[in-house]
This record gives sequence, C-alpha cells and structure tokens, in this order.
Amino acid sequence: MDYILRTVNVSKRYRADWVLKNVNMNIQRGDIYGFVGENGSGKTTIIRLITGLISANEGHIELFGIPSDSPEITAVRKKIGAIVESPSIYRNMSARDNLLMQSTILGINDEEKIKQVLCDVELGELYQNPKKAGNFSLGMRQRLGIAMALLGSPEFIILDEPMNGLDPAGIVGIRELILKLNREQGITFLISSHILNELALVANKYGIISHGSLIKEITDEELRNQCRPTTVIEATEHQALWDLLSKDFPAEDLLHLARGVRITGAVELNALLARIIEAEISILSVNCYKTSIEDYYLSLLGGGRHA
Amino acid sequence: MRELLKSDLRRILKDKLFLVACILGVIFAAITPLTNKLLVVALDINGDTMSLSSFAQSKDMFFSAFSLGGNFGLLLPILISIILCKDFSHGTVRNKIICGKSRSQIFLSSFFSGTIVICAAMLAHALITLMISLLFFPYQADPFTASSFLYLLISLLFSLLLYVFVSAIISALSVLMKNTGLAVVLFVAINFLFTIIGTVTTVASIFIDPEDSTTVKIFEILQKANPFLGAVIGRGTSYSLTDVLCILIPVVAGTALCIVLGLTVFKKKDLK
Repeated sequence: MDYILRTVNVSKRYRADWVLKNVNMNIQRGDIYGFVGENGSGKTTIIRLITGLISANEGHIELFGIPSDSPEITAVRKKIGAIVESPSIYRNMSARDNLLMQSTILGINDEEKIKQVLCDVELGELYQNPKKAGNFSLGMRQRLGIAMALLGSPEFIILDEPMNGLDPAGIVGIRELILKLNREQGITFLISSHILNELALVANKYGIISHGSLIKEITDEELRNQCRPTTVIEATEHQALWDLLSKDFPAEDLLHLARGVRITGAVELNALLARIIEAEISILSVNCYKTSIEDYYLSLLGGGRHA
Repeated sequence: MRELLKSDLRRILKDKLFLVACILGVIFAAITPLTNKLLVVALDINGDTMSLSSFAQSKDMFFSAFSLGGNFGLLLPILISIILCKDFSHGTVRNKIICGKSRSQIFLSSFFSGTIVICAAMLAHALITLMISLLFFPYQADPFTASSFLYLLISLLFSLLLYVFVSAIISALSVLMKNTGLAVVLFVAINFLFTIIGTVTTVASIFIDPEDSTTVKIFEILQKANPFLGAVIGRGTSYSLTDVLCILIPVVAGTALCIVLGLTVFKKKDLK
C-alpha cells in the first residue's frame, strides 16, 4: 500500500504528562483523513509531530516512507503544506506579500501561482490590495493560510480546524476546494475538525482520538455501516407498543423511551405502522433518521445518543 | 539557505520597527555632534582647549557611535531582536520547518540576516554622525595620513565585529526565549551587566598602586577585553598585539559560543 503517513507507536510527553500514547495512524495516498477528537485529545500534537515542530519521545513517524529519524525527512517535508492551529501569517504584510515570502522560502518565483492560489481560496481581489493581513477577518486569515499551504503544490496537506471562523459560504468554498484538489490533483488531506458532520461531507477515512490514544480508524464505508437508521415511534399506549415491538425486534435494537420506543436498524415502516394501527395503538409521532458520525463518535467515547 | 536569508531580510526590512530604527539612527547621529557644538559655543571653548578635548573630534564621535552601551548601539539590537522574535510569537517559523528547511538553516539565516541589518544600520548611523560632525569639527587633532586611514579601516572592522557578536547574542536569545519581552530584557541585562563590570574595573584601576605592574596589567586587559566598554576601538592611533587579542578573543569566542548554544537549543526545542 502507498502510505503517505504512518505513525508507529508514537508517544509524546510534556514533562510527566503523556499527551500521546502509542498512536498508530495510517494515511494512504488519495485519502481525505478526518481527524476527530475532543479538545486536548492530542490532535494538534500529532500534527506538530508530523510537521516536525516537535519530536516524539517514543516511536516514529514515516512520511512518504521516510522515517522521522532519517536526515532525509527535512527534504521530504517540502511535499507537505500545513496549517497548524492557526494560520502562520505575517500580520504586517498584505496577502500578496505573505505569499511572496512563502514563495521565497520555497524557492519559487511565480506571480501567476500566487494569483492562482489566491483565486482558489476566493481571495483573488486581495492580489492588488495593500490591506495588511493583521486587519483581515478570521475567515480571511484562514483562507490566506490555506493559500500559503497550497503554494508549494504539496502532495499532502494538513489542515488543523480549517473551518474555524469561516462563514457558511466560506465553509462550502473550502469543502469544495478540498474535494477538487483531491479529485483533480490527487492531493492527500489530513483534516482535524470539531464540526464532525461537516467533516463527514469530505472525509473518506476517519481517525478518532481520545485522551492521547487513537481509539479507532475507520473508513467511510465502515462508518456508514455503523451509522444505522433509527426510528422513534411515540404512542399513547407506549407499554403496549413496547410489548408489540419486543416480539418482532431483537432486544438490543430496542429502547423503551418515556413516550415511545426507539428502533435501531432497518425497518419496513409501512408494514410496521399497519401492525401498530391494527393493534389499536394510537401513534403520536414517527421520526426516522440516520445516526451521524457525531452519534458514532459520542458512542465511541462512551456517551451520547447511540444506544 | 539563500531563500531563507532573502525572506528573513525582506521580513526585517518590511517591519515598521526597522523604519523606526532608521529614523532613530538619523536623529541620534545628529544629536551627538550638535550637542558637542552647542557645548563648544556655550562654554566658549577656544581652539587651544578644543585640540585637547576628545569630544571636539569627529573621529571620537564616529567611533562612539558604535558604542554598545550608547543610545543607538543599545536600541538597534533591541529593535532587531523584537523583529527576530516575531517569527516565533507569530508562529511564522513553522512555515519554514514545514517547507523543509532544517533548524540549523533557520537559525543561521536569522543570525546572518540580523547581522547584515545591524552592521549596515550601525555603519550608516556612524557615517551620518561622522558627516554631521565634520561640519563642525576636524576629524582629529593630528593631520589625516595613510596610517590614520588604515587605523580607521581596522577600527571599523573591529566595531562591526562587535555587532556580529551582538547579533549572535540576540539570535541565541530569540531561540532560547521564543518570547520578545524576555529576549529584550535579557539582552539589556547582559549589556548592563558587562557595562557595570567595565565601570567597576575602570574605577578600580584608578586606585591600584601603579608600582604593582601585574595588577595594573590584569585590570588593563579586563577593560580592553570587555566588548561592552569599547575602551580600545578607535581610541588611539594604532593597535598593539595585546589590543588586537583583547578585542578579537572575547568577540570571536562569544560569537561562536552564542551560535553553538543557539543551534543546539533550537534543534531540540519544541515549537508551538
């Protein structure tokens, strides 16, 4: 398999506190890897390790097959673009000057490329604008940071909370950009985000981290199988409804609610409703929904709505 | 490395603080000769007295402009260290690491760019001081000869080497502290500490028994070897071997120490 990134038993501690414990993460070429975890779970620490800002106390990272203790790792990092925590921009410079600085560091001198990446992140109008980046809105800074990450034509882009501070149109714009870059240029993404349902619209693989441990790596397909449809039926005679449904469904798929019953899994709704009506049970409401990644995530963490 | 150096130089030159430094450099360059001229006029010092007084020589004003404890000599490194530290406080140093630059390259580029800017700014400041002072005072009491020119060039080289050392100190402090305030406070503390030590040795040397040649020699070396005191550079007409060694050894050793310290610390340091 063509792995862009592998972390092998990576552990990191700050003084006596282990903030990462034996993390084994695998990202293949072409993946859009959604990195999910609560605040302080270790997402940004992993990203810092990958980008070389910090080093691991135990284990190692392989980036494009090159281990982190190899001298070649520095050169390999040229293939990545990243926003870590917040965009690293020169606040006293304009958007164009920021990109010029980045292109100087990268050793590329291409005004067209600068113009193009600004247009890609919908900041094209700032190319000629001398407005300082320090006066940009949070969303504009975020987009400028993404433009800087794109400048070196990276094969692997790491975005730490890229949707932070973006308005709904901006979120859609970034989402479409990620999908377009992945589809057309085959760029691999690692995206950490708290907006899980938004992440679900782009990611095809997920890593769920909690308290410094990667508790689950799951593909989009596996997740879809995990996220089963749910039906909630409320009735006046909820005990009678429970008794009726208990005969038809396995106990683990049913949950007796205060005013009804929740069924997890696929149901033939028309037939089921007909049976309930036939049993002379008055239906108050019927709600059908599919559990989301959020539900799945919460269930993994041992709480939330997933039964 | 060249790309990093270019970007670091651009970063420093584009910073508003550099503009502030340039303005202050010109103001301070004008202050010393104008104040000295005012003193000469106010105290009605005639030509004979003037030939004896060092403050009425452009040469002294020129080399005093390089003084580390002096106005611009203290301010400029502080301003440059603030600009260098911004790379850490704004997190822009991350871009360089992510772009595949090694930490050694990043540190050395910061040191070299700081050195270039500090040396160029100090040289410009001293030259402006010289130009303004030449409007009112002669270069020196004695006629300007070929040996005076050679002495000027050597002194200039030593003065600039002093600022290479200063640049190494602020580069090391910026990676050690990663915090503008702390780096500035530490630099000022180092500057004051060595200036105080220099003053103490100068005062103490007055009370030493002139017969005690060994103690006299030790105190003389202590004064000459203190880079922050500027007791030797540009103060005479030629340099003895002891002078050269006293100037070069602490400056070169200090620069090397700061670079090694900066490189070692930065290589291991976790960055946010």
